[in-house]
Amino acid sequence: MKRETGDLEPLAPVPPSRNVEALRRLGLSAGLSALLVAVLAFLASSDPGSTLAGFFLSPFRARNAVPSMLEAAAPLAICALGALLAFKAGHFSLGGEGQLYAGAFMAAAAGAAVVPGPAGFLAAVLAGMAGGALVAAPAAAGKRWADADVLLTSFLVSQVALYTVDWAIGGPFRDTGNNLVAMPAIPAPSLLPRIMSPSTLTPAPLVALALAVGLWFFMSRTREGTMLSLYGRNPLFARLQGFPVGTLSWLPIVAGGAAHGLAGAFLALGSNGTAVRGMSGGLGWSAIGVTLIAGNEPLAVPFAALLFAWLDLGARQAAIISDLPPDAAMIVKALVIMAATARPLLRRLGGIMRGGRP
Amino acid sequence: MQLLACSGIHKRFPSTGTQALAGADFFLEKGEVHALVGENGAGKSTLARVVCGLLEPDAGTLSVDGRPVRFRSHRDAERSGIGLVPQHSMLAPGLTVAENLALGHEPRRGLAFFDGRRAVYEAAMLADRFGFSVPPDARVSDLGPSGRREAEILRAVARGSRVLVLDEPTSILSEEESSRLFALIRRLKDAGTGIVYISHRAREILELADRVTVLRDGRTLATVGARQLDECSLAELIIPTGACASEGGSRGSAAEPVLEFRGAMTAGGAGLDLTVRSGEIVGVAALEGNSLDELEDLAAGVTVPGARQLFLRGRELHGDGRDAAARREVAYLPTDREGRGLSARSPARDNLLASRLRGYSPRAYAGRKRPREDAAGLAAAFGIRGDLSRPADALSGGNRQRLVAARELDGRPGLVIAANPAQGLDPAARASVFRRLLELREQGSAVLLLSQDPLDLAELADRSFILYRGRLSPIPPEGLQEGRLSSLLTGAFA
Repeated sequence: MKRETGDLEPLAPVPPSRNVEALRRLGLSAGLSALLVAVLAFLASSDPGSTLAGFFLSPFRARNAVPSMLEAAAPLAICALGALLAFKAGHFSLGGEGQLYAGAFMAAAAGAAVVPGPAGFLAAVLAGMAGGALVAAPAAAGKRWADADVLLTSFLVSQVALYTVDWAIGGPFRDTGNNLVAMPAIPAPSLLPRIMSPSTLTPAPLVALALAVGLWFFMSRTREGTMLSLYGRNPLFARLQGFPVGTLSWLPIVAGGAAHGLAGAFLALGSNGTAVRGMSGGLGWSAIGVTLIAGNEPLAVPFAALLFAWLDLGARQAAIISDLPPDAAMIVKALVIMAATARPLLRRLGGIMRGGRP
Repeated sequence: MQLLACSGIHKRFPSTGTQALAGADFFLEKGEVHALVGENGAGKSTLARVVCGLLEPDAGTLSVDGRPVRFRSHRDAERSGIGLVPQHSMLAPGLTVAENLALGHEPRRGLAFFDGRRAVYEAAMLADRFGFSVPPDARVSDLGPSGRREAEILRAVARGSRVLVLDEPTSILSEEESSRLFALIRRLKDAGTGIVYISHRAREILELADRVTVLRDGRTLATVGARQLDECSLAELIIPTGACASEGGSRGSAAEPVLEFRGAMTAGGAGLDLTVRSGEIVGVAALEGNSLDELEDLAAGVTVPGARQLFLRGRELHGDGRDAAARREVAYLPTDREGRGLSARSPARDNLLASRLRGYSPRAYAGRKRPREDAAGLAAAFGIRGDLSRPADALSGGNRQRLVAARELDGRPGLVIAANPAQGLDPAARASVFRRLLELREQGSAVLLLSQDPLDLAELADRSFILYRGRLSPIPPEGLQEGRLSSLLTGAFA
């Protein structure tokens, strides 16, 4: 790659591109995950051999395991892309969980109400996105009009949304004929099509991939993406440059909410076929971890989501065939996120120790 | 007798890939003021940090009193009698001057109690010996910039420093405060202290220094006796441009009002009335604490003006998002270059092109060829060195300054707000920025020049004002002549 310099600086090394750096970081995270799984297997299992085989091999051996992994990674990646957009604009939004759940609820309601078929599908998708955006809206408005702390407001509103949707699914919107606490089923013609029978794989992973490419293009190849990124790192600078800071202060939060809503809609329109109580299952939180592991680079997000999906599936498989606790995946994920977020700190400390500039 | 000698010093920063020093040499005699000069990024500060033990060199030797030394920390350097007076104060603001002096070497009463009275006495004795005027019992947070600088020097002297490294000591001092500091430096020099003096200001280097070492690209280019130099030849040594400082253009005739303050209120006092017209440079000078920063904030749109107090081409400015379109014709060189002039963690290229993003079609921007060419062209025109695809904060301080100037002074802005435009720039960069401001004036831009240095006004402004205790007063042309500047800033013309 040709370096763009203002003058000759022959001794400066060519830095790797941000995407290459993100993928390298992701590779390290995957390696670290494998190492941690091995350590856990030896510490917590009486039969480490079968635990390791369960963890590493079963997700690829079991029938439909790979499609399942892709299916699980899709909503995670979509949520992470939404979170990433808000992060890039400097808004640390923690409302993903509630936005996702509200999206699923709205999608299930619209999908069941509108004529089955493409119209029903489209209505469900749009309603899902609107649901997510609606839950994000108070934090966005608070930021826009009162410079409120997005971290706090998004989290609080999300909690309200979680309890409200819980109540709605278990109360007035409950399908009383169903054993699950769930809403009425969305008619089959309105659901996401299955593209690899007999697995439940839908086109959702392709949508996630397209969104990742789209977000990468937006951030690195459009004027608006550049403005958003400059704003995210210094809002005062952006204002003095005449950027539309009013819009930048709220739109990325709402758009991030809509992405979470879309992920919720895909959950409802996928194998669930409706909105089920508790279906968000921490996906909104995991998405933040995926964003961090992906180093805030859109193209790395699908791979980071796959890593998380593999950890979940591997832990489940290992728990079935050995005595590894099913929560092992949680522990590994937490440690990997910690390592990913602590790395810049460690690098900086290392630099200072070597006598370089902090 | 050589107090300090540096020979073949090399230093590379692996994290940024910058070779900051690549064979720097100089030696310092007893009782000598030795100036280190060079353009931004030449390696002056790095060499100073090596000398003071804040950085370990990769290669080369340091000797004190003819004996090779190796400093692993600043404390090692202090033990060898080398003291640093940093550009930005590192004193504990909540303590008194005497307490700061005693930190780490506290006089004790009994076994454990700090003997404050003795600390003040010792500080007073030392201050008296060298003629320091800073009161030892004053709290540092209550001192002005000049007092803090004196306290920093006093602290170094109290540590037994025989070599003092002064990094840009006058950068925040007024003319009068600088003169006091120079007198103090001369007394220290007479007492045998060796002074390493880092500065961009040619005039004070020529006034103070015995010898001048010129650094370029981390290497020593030459060491010259200061008496052999004048301002022009010194600037030429730092960067050979074939021309000395900017000549100062003809004063253009004023025309359409571009920026108008109509009774604009600052915390400092009465409402300000000021009009800047196209094709003229209006200068406002003030010392710190006289609301110059407030005037800058108002003009730049950082703070909200009162109703109907600020106008751009006759349209009222509100200090919020409603001004976004109007702001696009305003170029702003802020005093706070880092906080207002850069999104420092974003790529340098994005920072460089921020003001012209809207000028690209979506297709041209996505293609990246034109933006890259434009950024490289701007960087070359303003001498910005470094990888533009890396974050702006990976560039050296001087290159960041140039980046802001390059972006803001490119094109033909209707209004330029230049706040302390020469701050932190080497003489060549300063001359280049001043030349560009004069060109913009000739092309019809209105320029509001705000500066704590009246010499900037003398060089550039068509009309000049002094801001003293919140009031604007015009300065008669003779007021900008040398010798009258100090009285001017302290209100003699107000």
